[in-house]
Amino acid sequence: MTFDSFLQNLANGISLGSLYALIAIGYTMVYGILRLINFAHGDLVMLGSYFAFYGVSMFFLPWWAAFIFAIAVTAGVGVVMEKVAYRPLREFPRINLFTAAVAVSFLLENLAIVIFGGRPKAFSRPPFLDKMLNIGSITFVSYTPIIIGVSLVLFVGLILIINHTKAGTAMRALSKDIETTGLMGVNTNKIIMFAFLLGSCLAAVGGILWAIKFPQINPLMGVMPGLKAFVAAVLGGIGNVGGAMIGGLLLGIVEIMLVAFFPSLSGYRDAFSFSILILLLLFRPTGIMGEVQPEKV
Amino acid sequence: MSSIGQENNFSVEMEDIVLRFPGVLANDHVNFTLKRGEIHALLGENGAGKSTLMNVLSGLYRPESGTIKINGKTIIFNSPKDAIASGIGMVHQHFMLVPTLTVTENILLGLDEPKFIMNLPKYNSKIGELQEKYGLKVDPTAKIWQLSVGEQQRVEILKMLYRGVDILILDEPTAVLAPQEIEDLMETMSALVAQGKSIIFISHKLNEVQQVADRLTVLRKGKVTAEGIPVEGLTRTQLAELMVGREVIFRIEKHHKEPGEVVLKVSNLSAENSRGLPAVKDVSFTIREGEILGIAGVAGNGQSELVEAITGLRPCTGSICINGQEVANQSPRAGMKCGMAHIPEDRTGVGTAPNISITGNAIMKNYRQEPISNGWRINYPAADEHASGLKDLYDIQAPSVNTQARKLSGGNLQKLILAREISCDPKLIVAMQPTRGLDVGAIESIQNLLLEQRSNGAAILLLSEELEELFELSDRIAVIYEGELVGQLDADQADLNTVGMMMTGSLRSDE
Repeated sequence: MTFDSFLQNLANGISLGSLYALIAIGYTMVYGILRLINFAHGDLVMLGSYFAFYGVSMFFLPWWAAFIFAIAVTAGVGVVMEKVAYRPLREFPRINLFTAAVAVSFLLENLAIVIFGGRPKAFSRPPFLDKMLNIGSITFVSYTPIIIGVSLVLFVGLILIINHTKAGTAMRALSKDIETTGLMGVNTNKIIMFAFLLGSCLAAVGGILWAIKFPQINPLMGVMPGLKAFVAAVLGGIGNVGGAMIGGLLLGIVEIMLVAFFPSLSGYRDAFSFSILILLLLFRPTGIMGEVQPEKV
Repeated sequence: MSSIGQENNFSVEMEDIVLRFPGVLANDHVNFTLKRGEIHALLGENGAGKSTLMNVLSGLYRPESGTIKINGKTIIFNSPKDAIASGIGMVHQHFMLVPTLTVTENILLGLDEPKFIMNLPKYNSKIGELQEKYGLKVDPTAKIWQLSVGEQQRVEILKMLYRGVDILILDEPTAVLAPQEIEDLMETMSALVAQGKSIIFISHKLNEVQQVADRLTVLRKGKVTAEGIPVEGLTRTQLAELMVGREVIFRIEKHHKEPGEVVLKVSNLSAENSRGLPAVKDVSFTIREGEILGIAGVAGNGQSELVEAITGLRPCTGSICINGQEVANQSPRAGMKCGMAHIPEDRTGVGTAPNISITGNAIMKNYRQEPISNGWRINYPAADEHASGLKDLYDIQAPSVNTQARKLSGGNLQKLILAREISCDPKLIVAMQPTRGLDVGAIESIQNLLLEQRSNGAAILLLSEELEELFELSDRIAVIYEGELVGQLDADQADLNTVGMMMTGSLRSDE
């Protein structure tokens, strides 16, 4: 393989990895605060792309307005999900919350089949995302740098929010100790809602970018990206936002490189991702960035 | 002086406060006043209603009746936020801090200001100014987990000062501190008062109250027994009497007793600590019937490991004989069979199972014996009867024997442990820190129980950080330093100075 094709594959890997990372952040933020693996998170990705699709095809919005519309509505779904399905169960054993998450996931998928129809739909990209770009001898489609760029801006923005705003500080406090943080005068409900809002926005962006990259959408399209993003979150150390980014990028790059170097193995791509997870968990159970913390008694 | 002028002298006036918990009258028509710029000590045994009264003042509980006046104005608090708005802030025994955040972040958390962006450098310097003013040194950019307990306490105080609090309630602030940190806290308290703040200091340590407080109020079983009397001129005995309601004899009556046969013989005992480093090095001693051997030492010099090795909780080398029976490296039950009783340092982790009932805890050692054991099952009525017998005999204050052990106060929990251990008629008692953290009344009864066992002919190994206690109770005193016994003295011949020098490793005497 030439150096050029390596670079090209690297760019593809980073763009796929950024998508994984965007989705993984939602998993990891919710886990960090509630110790809940929100299995419905992947379905928010699906909703994001559908809302963008209908924004353009049904309401004839310009693409940017359709995207904003899709992000807003998905975020609304995420917040309602927290309020209706998770908040009433917060005081109960974790398993109840987890079961509710699986139920919400099935609910969203089946609602999507009923409302949007089970047949796949073609997602049309804005025209400027369809061009071929040549840099030196490398060729790629113009959405690749856009995906990387948008993700990068969102990552930086999120890190700034978490480290330098009051809500972000409260989120970090909550993830350490919900009870104490509540006693310190923080409105925990508001902050948890804020975390779901952020996660859902990122999932919607992930969904729109996913549909741009793979322009065929269907009601179950969120399942695989959701699972992969979950792997990425665990890989990076679940509960750790920086870890989710690193885990996502790593998974994307490794997947693309595997297919590029061993084209005959491309059918085993998903099996390979999950094997990485199992291997890593054997040697570093808390993930790449995960801190080793003793179990709370 | 006009009466109005006097009224204005008070920043807090609580009148006729009544608060009831299920089955307990926690505050029974309590009056309490705090003058501006004073340190007012609130004294009482565990469970006397001190914390309850202060939780009323800080807005956590609402009283059933009674009035609260702040600076002469009647006020009703609905939440701690209301109390803070009126200038009252409480520093609880358990700190409310998030360990992974910085000092500044912890102070700002839960406030309306800043609204969205945390401009940390700006607030760091604001908090720096506050520190300068009150002499509370702690790095605002440090994370809480990096700080010592004393520093964390300063953060809690800063948090309250940042919220503009004028009246500080400190709930047993010295209980968690090292001696040097206690000195620092006392200085801080004086500095705060000099700047016009008023402090309510909850404590049951008499010497601290005498050192720092201007006036004091004493609560006993929910009632005020002394209201706002000046501290100056009061003796320790008078203070103790006010708290306990009867005379407390600080010099315990100890009768001379000729020691009998050797009960415990420890020879060449060595053990490692949990990190695999040698913690007990070649220790040998004996204890006879009716004799108390006190082991003095600065915490962390191998005391815990020594006790764990003797009680069968830690592997060791060397020999441990109880009445001629070798028990080293055997299960704790082997020791128990030889008549060993263990009063552990960690009352809730080792001494009791906090989530099960008093009965469950009381029968932990004798559940295999008739009539509690019914062959293969436990006879619960008999177990309850056994437990209530102990409860009455040892005066354990609790609603019933079905109460969970964790709901007992420290003193009552320790009495439960002693009741269980002593009721087995032990030949040997290993007691570590048996009176730590208890109030004077409980200390007195625990010490008397130990002396009673000595009269009954038990051999007692007593480890304590309270030298005074060791001197009063022990027949002989040994000093442990870095895992070695550096000297054994007769208690009548030992003096504080010699033992103190041995504890710091600057003197050895091998008898």
